[in-house]
Order: sequence, then structure tokens, then C-alpha cells
Amino acid sequence: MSQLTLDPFAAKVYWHREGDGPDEIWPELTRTFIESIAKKVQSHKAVIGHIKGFASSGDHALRVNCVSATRPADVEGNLPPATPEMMLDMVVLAYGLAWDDAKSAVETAIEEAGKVHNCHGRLQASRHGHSHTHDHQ
Amino acid sequence: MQLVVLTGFLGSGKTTALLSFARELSSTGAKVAIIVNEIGDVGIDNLLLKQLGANMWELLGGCICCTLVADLGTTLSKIAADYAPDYVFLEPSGASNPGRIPDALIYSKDLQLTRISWLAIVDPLRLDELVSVLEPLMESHLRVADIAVITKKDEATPEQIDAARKWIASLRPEIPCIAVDMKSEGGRASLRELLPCLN
Repeated sequence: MSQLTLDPFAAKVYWHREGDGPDEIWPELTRTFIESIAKKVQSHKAVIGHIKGFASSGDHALRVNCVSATRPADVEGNLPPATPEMMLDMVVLAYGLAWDDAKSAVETAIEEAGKVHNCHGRLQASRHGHSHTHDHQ
Repeated sequence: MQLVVLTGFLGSGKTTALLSFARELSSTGAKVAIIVNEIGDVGIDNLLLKQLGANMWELLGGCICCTLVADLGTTLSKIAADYAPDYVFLEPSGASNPGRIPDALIYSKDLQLTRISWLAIVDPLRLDELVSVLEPLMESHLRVADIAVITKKDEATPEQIDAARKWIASLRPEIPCIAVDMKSEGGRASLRELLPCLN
């Protein structure tokens, strides 16, 4: 029996639109972004626990959950139409994924999702989490 | 004051179940408080619950089974003193070992709990994969449970639901087990039927 460590990666991603695009861009951008992260996490042979995010503006909120690289991310809600910016709070919880690898995966996913949806994202990562180790088979 | 603990692995649907239970109980006039524990120092579920206006307390940046065990005890005492709810719903981080949570209660001065109920939330879609690599943790969620709730019934195949039922029965054959789609009214109705089990 060995051990798997969970090293949480928490961040804020500040997105803003570049040029014109559909009014309701944020759910699709968020889906592209989070699913891209999931694929990168899986490529590290890590076990995805939960990749999730939340953004809000006034009474509007957008929530995303992803637990697998092979199933679509679940995106609920939206921000008000034509909102030019979105601040997404997010965490990547994956067993066997080092914090630096998580950060790299998120940075690359920001670039990829930004290109697809004509947006720019700026990452502000936080490294004060608590790692957790569990026995595994 | 009753304590209801929702255990289950990361992403199994604990927050969705918690919200359903809390809404149902609040609609009957019960006072409901929620404690959310997230392993990262930036929470996500707490932001959602704040947005929804829930009476919520946060324990972030660790697990209530280890680093935050004393904080849980003192938070429970504070909630009892300041809010006096009928129910406190506790959502531990999905990385927590729930078997250690009762240790926290020794830090709750003069706390009078009428009951502690334990619900294990099980995601049938990933059960095989997770049990194969994290079996002790997965089993720890079920070992303490009074009720098992299999989520994501709308996404799982009948075979996956059946496999989840068999896994639960292999560890805890004596506890009730239901499978629900919490996004549907039918699923929420199934959860309503569990409310008497909490009393």
C-alpha cells in the first residue's frame, strides 16, 4: 500500500472579453476552461477529486463542477448579459497532482480557452492550502 | 439541536443534497444552519451558499478531521449560542475521514445535541475507479452512515446504480439506501421521504 496526496490548488481567474462576441459567453468559456484543466490533470495520471468554480455579479451566479476528464463539466447559471468581465474563484482538487503541475495546467487552459472564446484571463493563485494524504492500493 | 453530517467523496453531490435538505426543512419553519468545510483556503461551496442567503459558517483551509477539529467544536458552540437552530448541517471536505469528526465534539462546551445523523453520499459514476485507488477513504464515508444516498441517478446506468447498491450492502447491509436524481422534482421528493429518518 502506498499513499496519494491531495494538494489543493485554489485561484482566482480574472477574465475579460476582447472585442465582440456573443452576449452569453461566460458559461461556454467556463466549460471549455474547466474541461481543458481536467484533461491536463488526467494526463498527469492524477485522480480528479473535484474541479469547481463560482462567479457572481449582483443576483446572478455561475457555478461549474467537473469530476472527470471524460464527462462534460456541469455548468449552471450565468452572469448578466453582456457582462464584460468575470472573476472566477476556482479550486483543483486532485490526488497525486503537485501544486506546480496544477498551476501549469490552469495557466495553459487559460490560454487555450481564451483563444477559443476571444477572451483574456489573468491568474492569481493562492498557496496556503492544506495537503492531505490517504493510503491507497 | 440536531447535527446532520453529509459525508462522501469530493464531487459526489454533498452540497446539492445539503441544499435540498436545508430548503425542505426551512420550508417547514425549522431553523437550519450550515457548516461548510473545504480543504482549500479559498472555498467555492461557501460562495454559492452565501449567494443563496443560507445561514452558513465556513471552515476553510483544512480538514475538520485533523487540522480544524477544534475549530469545528468551537463553531458548533457558537452556532448554538448565537443562532439556536433546530438543525445544523455539516458538510466535511470530501477528503475528510469522518470517523474522526466525533472527536471535535469534545471541543463544544455545553453543547446539547439531541441527535447526530450521518448521510453517506455516493457517486455511482466513479465508484469503481475511486474504490480501486482510495478504498480506505471511500469506505470511511460509509462506515459511519445511517443512510446511504446514491446520487446522479439520471446520469448513471442501471448497472452502475446496482453496483453502488451492492458495494454499500457489502459494507453496511443494515442501512437504508436510495438512489436519486437531485436535479429532478422526483429526486427531491425522494429526499423529502428521508427527512423523518433524521428525526
